[in-house]
Amino acid sequence: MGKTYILGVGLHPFGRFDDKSFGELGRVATNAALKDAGVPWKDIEIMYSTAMVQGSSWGTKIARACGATGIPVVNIEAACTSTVVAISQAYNAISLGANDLVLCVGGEKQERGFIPTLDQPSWMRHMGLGTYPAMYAQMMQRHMHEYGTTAEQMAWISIKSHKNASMNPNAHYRNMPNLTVEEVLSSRMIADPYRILMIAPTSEGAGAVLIGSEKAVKKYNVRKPVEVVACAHRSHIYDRDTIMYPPRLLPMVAKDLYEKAGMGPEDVDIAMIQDGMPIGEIEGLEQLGFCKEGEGGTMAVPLKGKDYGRTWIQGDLPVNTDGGYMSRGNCIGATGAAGIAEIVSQLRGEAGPRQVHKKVRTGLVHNMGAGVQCSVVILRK
Amino acid sequence: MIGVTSFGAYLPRLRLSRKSIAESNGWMDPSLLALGKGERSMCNWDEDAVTMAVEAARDCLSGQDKAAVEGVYLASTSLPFLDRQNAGIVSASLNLSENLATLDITSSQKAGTSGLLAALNAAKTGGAGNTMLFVASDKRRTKSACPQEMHFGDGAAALLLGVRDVIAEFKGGHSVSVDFVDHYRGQGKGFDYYWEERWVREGVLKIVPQAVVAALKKMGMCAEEIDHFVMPCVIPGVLAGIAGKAGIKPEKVRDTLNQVCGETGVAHPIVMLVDALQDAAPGEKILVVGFGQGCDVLLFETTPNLVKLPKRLGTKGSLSRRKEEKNYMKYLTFNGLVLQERGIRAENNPQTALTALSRNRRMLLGLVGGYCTKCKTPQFPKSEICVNPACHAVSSQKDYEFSDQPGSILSWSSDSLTYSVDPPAHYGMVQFSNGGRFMADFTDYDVGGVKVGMPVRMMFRIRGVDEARGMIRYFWKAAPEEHSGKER
Repeated sequence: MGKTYILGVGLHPFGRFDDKSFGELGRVATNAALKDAGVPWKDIEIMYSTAMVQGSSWGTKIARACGATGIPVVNIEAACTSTVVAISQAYNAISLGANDLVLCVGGEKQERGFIPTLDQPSWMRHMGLGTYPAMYAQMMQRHMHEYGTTAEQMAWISIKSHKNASMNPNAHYRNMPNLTVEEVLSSRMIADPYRILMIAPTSEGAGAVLIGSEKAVKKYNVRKPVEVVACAHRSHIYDRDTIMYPPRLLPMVAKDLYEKAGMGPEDVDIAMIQDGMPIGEIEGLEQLGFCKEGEGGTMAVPLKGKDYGRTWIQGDLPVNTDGGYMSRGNCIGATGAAGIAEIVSQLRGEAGPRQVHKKVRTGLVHNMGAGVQCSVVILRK
Repeated sequence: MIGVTSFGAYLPRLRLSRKSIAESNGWMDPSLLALGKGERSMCNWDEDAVTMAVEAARDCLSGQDKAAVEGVYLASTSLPFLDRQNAGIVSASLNLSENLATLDITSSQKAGTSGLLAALNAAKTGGAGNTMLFVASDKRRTKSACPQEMHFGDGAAALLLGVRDVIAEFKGGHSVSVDFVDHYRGQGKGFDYYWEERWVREGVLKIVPQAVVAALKKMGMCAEEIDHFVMPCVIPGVLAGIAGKAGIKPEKVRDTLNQVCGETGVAHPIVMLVDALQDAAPGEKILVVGFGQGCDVLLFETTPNLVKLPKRLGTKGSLSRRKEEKNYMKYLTFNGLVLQERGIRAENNPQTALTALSRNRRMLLGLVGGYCTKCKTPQFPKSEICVNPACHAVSSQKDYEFSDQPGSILSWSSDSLTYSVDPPAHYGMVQFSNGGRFMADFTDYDVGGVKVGMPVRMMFRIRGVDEARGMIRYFWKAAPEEHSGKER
């Protein structure tokens, strides 16, 4: 099997763009990725296009905006983990020799308000689970009960996230660099214990990741290619409405991933973990093996004598350095692309004011799709 | 011997402070200020005559053989459906056999006692007698600021009737029918129309003593033998007057529970009878009167079996499961007595597919799930493939009733976003002690008081109302168990 590389990444900023179409958002991201890699559009062999709420055949809208070349367009939907699923498919195609140059591009035009839980049965949507906060709030309540995780710990995750996003020109929320615990904990209650400043915004935008073979890296003389070491993806073995825990999905996926990569969590220098709400980052840290079970809540809390915690840009395991879902925004079909783009920037040492202080060689991107699908990818420079 | 073999009652947990009514309405009718004492039971927003009937019946059937029940009669003047048998909803929710006689009895305040007589007669039929479940339930809607709003309460009571293990023998009854119209409610009208109390008092004092005397004569009884005189009445002095005229000792007149509950309409003679049964010793005589365009008189005598009946809530336990409500606006809101802006999220109004309701009635009304006969895993809903990842057996499940299974809160949230009549909506995952999990709405909780690990009990409630189509959607919710102290 040949090696697979990320040749270029590109984003359309996340936010609200009432004057732009889905195709236009996708075109901007695609062009940025092509420019980053030095690859012309006409050379793209196949497009994997990702989105959740764009109806049918959305990828052709991007292809049309870029210039219809007649390439195969494959639409992939796996909610928030769509991009990472697309990348794992591209990884398979390239490593098995079927393709040399694959564009994964996705985005979202979506209504304001919390993202709908389209996967839930109707009776649960009528209960209030038509959006995600109350579902993740229940997971948080359980974590608080089992491990004593506190609202203050959650607030620190929000503070770190908003600070990171303030340094990210592509982020949705850039205007809250210096939140305080008090400000977070006095913001409007949405679903106990989650307050509005702990919940990801519903963003529009787009993201593109250009993936290619070793041959393609050489052909285009790509500067700073980043290797896709391994991908893992699984779906739930239970319906979430029947059994919430255990068994948990992420530990199973993490096991697959580390086995495939021949690595362990100790080999990962930086991570992008789904943090639509605090429980995502907390359980992600624990279940990916970055800390002990129950300690996830402590990771963003400032260390003794410091003004940063372990998962901050200055820390020993920086997490969600671009603001993550919580502040960079959740643009469902492009949210994984944003995570990939951030890791690529950090590994290249091009993250500007967000560049982590430690030396980084290996990064990990984790996404959950509608809570019932999970994908993780490891990248290495 | 025929008579009562078990009893149960249900009063909503909320008790509206009458002072709150008086303080809100005294400015327009100062006479209400004098009535502002004590409290009245008040349905939560998700309760009605059917849900209360189900809870009273569950209390009554606890420790009893449900499979033996051959008929369910439901008496009420506040039934939610005019043409869909309400007794049928109750029996389906209790997951009784569908080989069952069901009947709604209504249109008079004496429906509670007339229905009981009819059910006793039905219990007599059949070679060995039938086992009948009789339930009386009323959610009493009045206009705001009328005296009845002070006097009335919401509640239900249930009696199991039969010939085996009788705890109170039915000694006989007597009925009179007089079209004496102290109040009425016309077709399509939301509220009763009342005549003057002075005149009503005269009518009651004419009709009831005569009927009581006739009944006692028919049964060869002396009024002085009566140990408990059970009759609801909100007009002061009337019960003492009846007792005096009929020769019943004044101290035998039972408390109408006016100060702690209010008059629960059709249910009230039975609520008071259950209260009397909870006080009575074997060998005591209980005379029950229900008034309404005439009256019914029923005599019961308790037997030694009374003390053998397993503990249950009854009227006394229901009274102890209590939370004071001082917010009169909440009462108005819960009873649809005030037009409020509910916000855009309240506009979600799904239609009930009657096909799906009918096909899934055991699951939706009876809370019947599945039990894998291979791996012994209870699960909801029942399905073709067992959810246990170590099993995944196909077609292995038999019916499993979750409604009476004890459970606790695995996790929860209070949702300030979604529409609720009483926000914030609380719901979460219930872990049943004997296996099985279930995402459920919560009810009868205290905001700020819900915790992971809290024991809960499933209760039959209103899930939502389709006002455009007149449909009430019922389902089961989890209520904190801490409020359910059991008493005999």
